[in-house]
Amino acid sequence: MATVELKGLGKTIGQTPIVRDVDLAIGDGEMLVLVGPSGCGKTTLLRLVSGLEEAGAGEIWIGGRRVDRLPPARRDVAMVFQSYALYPHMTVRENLAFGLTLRKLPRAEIDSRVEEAAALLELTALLSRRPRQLSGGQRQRVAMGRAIVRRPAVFLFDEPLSNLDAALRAQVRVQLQQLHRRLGTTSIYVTHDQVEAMTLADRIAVLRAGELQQVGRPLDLYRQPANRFVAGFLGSPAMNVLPATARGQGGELRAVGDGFALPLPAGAVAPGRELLLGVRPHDLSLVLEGGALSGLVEAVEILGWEAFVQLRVGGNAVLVRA
Amino acid sequence: MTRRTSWPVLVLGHAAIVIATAATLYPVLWVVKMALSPGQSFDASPSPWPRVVSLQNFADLWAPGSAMGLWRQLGNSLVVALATAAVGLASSATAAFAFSRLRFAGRQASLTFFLATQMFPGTMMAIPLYILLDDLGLLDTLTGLVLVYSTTAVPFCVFSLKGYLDTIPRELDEAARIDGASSWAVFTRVVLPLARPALAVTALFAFLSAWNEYILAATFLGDARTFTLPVALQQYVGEYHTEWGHFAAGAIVVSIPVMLLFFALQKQLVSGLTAGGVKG
Amino acid sequence: MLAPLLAVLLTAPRPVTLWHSYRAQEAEALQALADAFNRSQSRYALTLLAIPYDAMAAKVSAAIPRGHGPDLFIFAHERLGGWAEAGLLAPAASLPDVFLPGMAEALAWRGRQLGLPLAFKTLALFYNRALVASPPRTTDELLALAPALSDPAAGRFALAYQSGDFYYHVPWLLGFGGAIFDPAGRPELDTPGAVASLRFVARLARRGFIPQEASSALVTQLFAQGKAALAVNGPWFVGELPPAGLPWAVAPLPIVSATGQPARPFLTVEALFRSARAPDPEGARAAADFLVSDASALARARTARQLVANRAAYEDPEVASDPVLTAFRAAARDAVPMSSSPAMELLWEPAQTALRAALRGDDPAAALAAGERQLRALSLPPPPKAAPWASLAVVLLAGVAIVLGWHRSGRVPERGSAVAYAFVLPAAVATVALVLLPILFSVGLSAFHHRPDGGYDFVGLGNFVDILASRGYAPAEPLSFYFTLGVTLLWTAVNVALHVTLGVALALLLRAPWLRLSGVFRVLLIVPWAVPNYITALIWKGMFHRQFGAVNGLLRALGLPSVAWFSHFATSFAADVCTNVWLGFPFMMVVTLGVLSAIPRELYDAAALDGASPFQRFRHVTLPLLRPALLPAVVLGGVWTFNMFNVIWLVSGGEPGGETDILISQAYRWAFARQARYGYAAAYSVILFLILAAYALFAQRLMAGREARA
Ligand SMILES: Nc1ncnc2c1ncn2[C@@H]1O[C@H](COP(=O)(O)OP(=O)(O)O)[C@@H](O)[C@H]1O
Ligand SMILES: [Mg+2]
Repeated sequence: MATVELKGLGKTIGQTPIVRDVDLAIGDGEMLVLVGPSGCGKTTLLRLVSGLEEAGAGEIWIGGRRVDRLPPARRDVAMVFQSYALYPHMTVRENLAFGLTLRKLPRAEIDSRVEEAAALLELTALLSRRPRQLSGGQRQRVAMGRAIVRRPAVFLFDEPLSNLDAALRAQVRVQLQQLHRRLGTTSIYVTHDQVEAMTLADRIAVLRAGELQQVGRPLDLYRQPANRFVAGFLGSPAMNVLPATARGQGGELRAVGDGFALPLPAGAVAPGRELLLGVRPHDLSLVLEGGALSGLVEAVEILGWEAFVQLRVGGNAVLVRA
Repeated sequence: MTRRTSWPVLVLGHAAIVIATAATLYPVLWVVKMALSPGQSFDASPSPWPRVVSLQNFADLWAPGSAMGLWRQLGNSLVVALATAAVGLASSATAAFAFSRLRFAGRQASLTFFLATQMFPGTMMAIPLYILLDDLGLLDTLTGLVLVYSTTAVPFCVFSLKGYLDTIPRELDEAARIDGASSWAVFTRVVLPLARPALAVTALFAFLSAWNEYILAATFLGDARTFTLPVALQQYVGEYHTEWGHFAAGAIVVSIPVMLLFFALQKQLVSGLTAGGVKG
Repeated sequence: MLAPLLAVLLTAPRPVTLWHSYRAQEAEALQALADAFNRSQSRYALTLLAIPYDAMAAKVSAAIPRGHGPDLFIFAHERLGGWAEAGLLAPAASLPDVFLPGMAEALAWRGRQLGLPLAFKTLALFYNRALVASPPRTTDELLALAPALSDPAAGRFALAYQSGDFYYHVPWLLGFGGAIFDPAGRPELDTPGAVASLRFVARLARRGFIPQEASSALVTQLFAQGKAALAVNGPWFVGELPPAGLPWAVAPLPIVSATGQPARPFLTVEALFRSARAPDPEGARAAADFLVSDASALARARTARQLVANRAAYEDPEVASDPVLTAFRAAARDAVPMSSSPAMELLWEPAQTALRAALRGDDPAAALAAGERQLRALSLPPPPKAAPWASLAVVLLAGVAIVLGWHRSGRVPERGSAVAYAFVLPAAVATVALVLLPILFSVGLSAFHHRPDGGYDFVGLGNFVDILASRGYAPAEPLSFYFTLGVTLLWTAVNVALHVTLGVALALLLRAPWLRLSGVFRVLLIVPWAVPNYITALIWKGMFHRQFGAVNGLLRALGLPSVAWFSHFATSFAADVCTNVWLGFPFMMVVTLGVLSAIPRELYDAAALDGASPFQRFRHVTLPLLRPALLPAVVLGGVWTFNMFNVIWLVSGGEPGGETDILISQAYRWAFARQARYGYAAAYSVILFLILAAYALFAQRLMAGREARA
């Protein structure tokens, strides 16, 4: 029921532009993951959508309604904060019910929604505790519960897993995925963790210094990054990037660089162009002789389930999955 | 962090605190001595212990026809001080919230204004305030006195509370706003409950400022039935002669409720008065 | 229905109110007379209200012009001139010829009888019959007796009296032929007789015949314990002496041998004044006549041992057989009615300054010359009247400049401001109505001169010019405005620094994990906060007494010489600071405790793991977090200290010679101790305010900077 559309959204604090001219359409029920390095403006963008921050330019539409002049309360969004922001003076039950009491829902309705959310998130036994009596994971679930009970048009998540340890994070990630499938609520999910991005997203939007770099399905972004930044940001270890020049050699187009010459699809670029060749370590494999690239082994990283070898090819270091 | 503290540190530390406490209490013990010594003289000897102990001075305070009818004045003082604390808190809490949480044109200027009002010497405001109260028909009334005390209490309360509110994480009210809270709801249901220690301490200060004040009360109250405790107490200070015993006993009577409040609010006193706070 | 009601209304006694500052027996006697008056007739009901003595004069001055004053009030005659000029007093209807000579005359002003004498006060010589068989009749006899009776090291003195109080010095001054007014009626100080009188008391002090820095309490204590053989004191002294066991008697003051003249104390007449605004003059008159009648006087003399002003009372056998009453009655013959002229008010301060300087050992002639100079400076004529238009233009221009500056500083209104304004409204209304209006009133007042007759003259910026010109004192001289300003700044800086240092140090100690009983110490350390400071300040003053104070007692116990605390600027200032630090450190301590409790333990643990020593942890963890959090408290504390009137007034009182006065105590003097120069005092307040406002702006910058970084 709720789509989110951002049109030419911008925000400047002081003289510094924090978010620049963002156009983005999120479909109903879609989970859009917003990724980017720390400080690139993800939180700010989310706060613009929630109404905590006033947009400097552009429009925000939620469910076909223009909301950018409305206070947060009237935008019908729920947000899960990085620090959870649970009300310390309220019990878990009161935390969950707070938004509903403010909206003056009938008592019975509130109770049933709270019970339901609590059951869903395994919080039932904790309902009468205060936030300070909860573990990190429990707090995180309360924060999510607080969003769920509201049944808003849009969920906004700001790095909700970043305060959990690695094992817990993986576990909650899966739960989140199931939750989203079950509730089907339009969501914007901010993270700097690409695993979360790849696993949770219907689509990923990559932000850099306040500007949108590319939006698309995870694999599309993985396979067809629009620029070097996106290419380098997604995938681990990062993609190998080799400078080269397109040359026609004996009717074939080749990318010629320092110590290699690789074939290019015919007509892909005009001969003589400077190129950046991106190759993921996983798309290369090691052979003893006759490979497309050849070089000396510089280092070997063995992780157990896989291993990487770093080769020196001319002046470049190239990482290869062994 | 459970390394043992070396004994010189222990000894020196305890010695320092004992000396500081002794120096702090010494003048107070003198007040007690004068109150407990029979007679009205000011004993200048260095010993803080009374030679003879008598409760006569305290009994005199309650004696019929004494300068302090005492119960009545105790009641007046209590009413005035409580009302000052209530008015101070009630009218400053919203302002403190606005200064801490809302951005608006003139915010900085108004903050400066509130600070600036603390700077006009109170002693010099007696004359204009007298005229003002008179025009309002509030001379000789406890209501008028409460208004006068509120003038200093309100700006102070604004500052004290704002300092504390600044330490409450902003995300809490943002969460509440997204949950659907208006500014008023954020204020009443999230910020105020969290500010309880600061409210207690701020109220205590407002209470104290009214409880101990003498000059303005003496100027504005012209009816013995409205006298507050300090005014009654000051009657023991004459033109040529001060009744030190009564004065000291009265001072102790004035101080006891404050001490009790200190005891009762000990915890809040420490946590509620960050006056600025530590934010990461 | 209506008729009986009307009858009741018509016959209900009409109220007549009387304000007084009497205590104990005198108050009881007065109450008995009021009851008698109410029984004697049914038209008026006289009710009494006891007002603290300290507050009476200010209250009368404020209340009567606005119609809230009493019908009658009792006060010493010394304020008569000022009140008469201000038109507060109604003339007496008739003056019965029943009073002792000089009493009624003291209450005449410009040919009108503006009060009726009730009683009088003056000084006489009390002596301990166990120590001196007969009182000295001359100063030579006194000097001859004194060495045998004095041993300052043992705390024994021949004579005890409040030597530093000008009122007690007047008998010597006049006895030595000194004067208080020159033939033209202007106050004067530097006369040969005055020099001689100062030489005399300086000698008494130097030889250890009299105690130093004698307060009334000390005089009582010494005489009551038999450690002073003689005391110069008034009738109130009787009530302070032990009821039994001390063989004392009263005699007239000795004759000054150098001149052959008796030592002449001031005569103060306690008068019954009738307000010019009394709604029912008839009733007030009736009550007044009743209270000053011979019968009433006799009752007062008998029950309260009051020194009544009526001749007839002293012929009563019971009164005549009272040695104290008759002795004072005799002493009154040599007494001189204190001048009630407003000019007299100006004399006290410089006279006292000179007197105390001489007692400290300064050259009497030089001390008097300095006093005379101060007297001249204080009595400079008010600023000339100014044309309102010129000043109005200046004010308007300043206003425009401020508004423009405001505009230029580029304040952009933000959305959602309406809600914020609603939140600020209650506090703003309260503050604007009750603080801003009085402040504006004072600012307006600062452009006027308050005449002794209660009227105001517009003088424009004259008051400010006058203040900034320091009344002829060079900037570095103790009595100049700039010196006082410097003292004020120093006072503020030293106090705040000590408050913070001590507060932080004690808070750190209290938070130390190894400290036992920290809860107990914490409560005990905030006790200074709970006791009203107008009493603890007096205690501190006592503790700094030169001969009997606890501080010097401690110094002596440590083998150190004792210090005359209020004789030098540095030590007097130190005494003030000490008191104020004692009063103020608990606030900083508690603030610091609050901040410390908010610092997460992990920060210390982390620092400790990084190998930081306790001191390094304090420097690099505690201090950086403490500093911004303490800033608002420091700013407010600075403001409070800057205007801390009570401590200066009650502890050093500006001693020596006004050097430790700060701006607010100076302003107070001008308003309440120097001829009610309200406009001048208001100008002082405005200057104070401007200084603090500049400080506030600066502090605001600091705090705003911190907010932005947070
Ligand atoms: N109130 C503010 N004032 C100034 N700069 C800010 C403010 N809030 C955020 N920024 C800046 O905006 C940029 C984006 O911040 P943020 O949206 O929190 O980034 P992210 O969430 O992607 O890490 C950062 O460089 C940050 O320093
Ligand atoms: Mg962020």
